[in-house]
Amino acid sequence: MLKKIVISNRNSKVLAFLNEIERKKEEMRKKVEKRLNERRQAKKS
Amino acid sequence: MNGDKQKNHNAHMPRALESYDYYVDEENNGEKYFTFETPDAVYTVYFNPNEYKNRVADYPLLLNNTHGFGFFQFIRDGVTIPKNDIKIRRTIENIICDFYRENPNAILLYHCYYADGKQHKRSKKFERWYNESAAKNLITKHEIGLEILTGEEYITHYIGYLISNANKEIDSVHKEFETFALSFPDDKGG
Repeated sequence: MLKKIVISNRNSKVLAFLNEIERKKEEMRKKVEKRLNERRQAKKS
Repeated sequence: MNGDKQKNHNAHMPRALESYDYYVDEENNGEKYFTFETPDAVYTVYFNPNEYKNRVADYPLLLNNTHGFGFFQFIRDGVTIPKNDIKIRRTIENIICDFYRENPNAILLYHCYYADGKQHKRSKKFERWYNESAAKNLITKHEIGLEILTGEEYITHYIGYLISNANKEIDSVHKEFETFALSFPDDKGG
């Protein structure tokens, strides 16, 4: 069963932490996408 | 490493036959990217030892063994919704099992992407994949929901981990993760 933790403190650092993780994930996604495009271009040429 | 017993355990990780081939990119900082292509999209599964490092600094087992885990989907131009392809799930299972063969002590920490508001759907889908997986008896999955007051409403975030059942520290890791998660409500801003 899923355990739930309620965080009512609007100033909690947790949200900042989750936003930071989301930002890192977005950076990784862009890096991966760039590499995929480079591979595609290399295949074409 | 926890010795030969654990290596043997992980050597028996199942391998789905109907799956896509993948290739691996490894970076100098330890990040690993496993990529495969379907007719509709390209998928990359990542294992990133640095993703959560700052946050778990006070939790030695998590600090030394955690890899951020997740995957990206790049849909091909002109394709709106990829078909429901079971080989995608099986390939991701194979990648996770292969990763555990090489990294038997790994703790794969994840949280469901929430920027588009679909984190609940992602959590449910991952739970279904796990429950239907042949690796379920070899890998434990544990997830918690964090209901965080954001503006005037509570938004639920899902954070969890995967760990090999052969990991001798499995109970200690569970306790550390629970302590880590339970510390969130007291985590005042500043």
